[in-house]
Amino acid sequence: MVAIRWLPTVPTMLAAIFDLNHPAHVIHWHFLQLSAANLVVIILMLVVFAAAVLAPFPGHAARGGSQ
Amino acid sequence: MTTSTSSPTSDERSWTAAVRSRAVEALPPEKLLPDKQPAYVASWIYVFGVLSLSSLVVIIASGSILALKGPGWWHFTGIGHFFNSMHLWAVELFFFFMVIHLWGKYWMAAWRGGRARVWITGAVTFLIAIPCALTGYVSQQNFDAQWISTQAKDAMNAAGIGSFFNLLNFGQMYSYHVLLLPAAVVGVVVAHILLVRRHGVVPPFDLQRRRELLGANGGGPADDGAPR
Repeated sequence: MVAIRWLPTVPTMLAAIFDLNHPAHVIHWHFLQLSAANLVVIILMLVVFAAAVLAPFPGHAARGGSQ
Repeated sequence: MTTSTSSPTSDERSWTAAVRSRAVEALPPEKLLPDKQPAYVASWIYVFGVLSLSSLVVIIASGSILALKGPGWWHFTGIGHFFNSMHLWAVELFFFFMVIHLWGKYWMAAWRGGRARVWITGAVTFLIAIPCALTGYVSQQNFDAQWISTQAKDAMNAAGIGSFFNLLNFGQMYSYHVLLLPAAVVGVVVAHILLVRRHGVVPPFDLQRRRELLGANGGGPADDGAPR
């Protein structure tokens, strides 16, 4: 168990960066209402989707890929 | 004790031989475990299916460890917190990757070429995974779970399905979360993968051919048989 003693300190360190001890921030725009955390995740998914479509795949050109 | 003979008549009568014959016909070994994929698969957008699958493996593995050790372990020990967090973040990543996989397949109309069942099993997986994850919230054995279950049961009752299950019943929700719903997710995912193996990965749209058809048609709608 000695090797895992550092584990309980990890949440403490993260809590210092992200203070979660408060109600969630909520975005409210007309009919749309969602938490700021969910909005961040949705934006991240859109960014990753765009990157997955546009970014070149390693080794594709070397195999004679056209795009 | 009787022994089977190798005559065609006995093979036809044997249900195991019939199932084997149909299985090999539907999915010959070179299709089930291919060693090559088409060139168009070399794109990042094709990676998100296997990323979803990898997340599911971590979910099942970490969830099995949590089930073995119990709530006292996952709430009050450091290593228990670690596996609890791993389980949560694997679920977050599972949905993250699955949504991008869904978007990618939607925009390339992945149901083309007789792949309707591939699309349907993927969509059903997504639908079953939602209650599978939500029952995890009410299986935590803490105040958070109590709050969520008392709020959610009002929603279920308002939707008219509250008589079929009780979100305040921990034993029932835990059974749903660790057995019934994961078994359904894994079963449909296996069917999804076997169907992908059978039909192959959906190819991208042939834009070059479509441009040629549009050009030949004076810019008007081309009758190329493509779905609209």
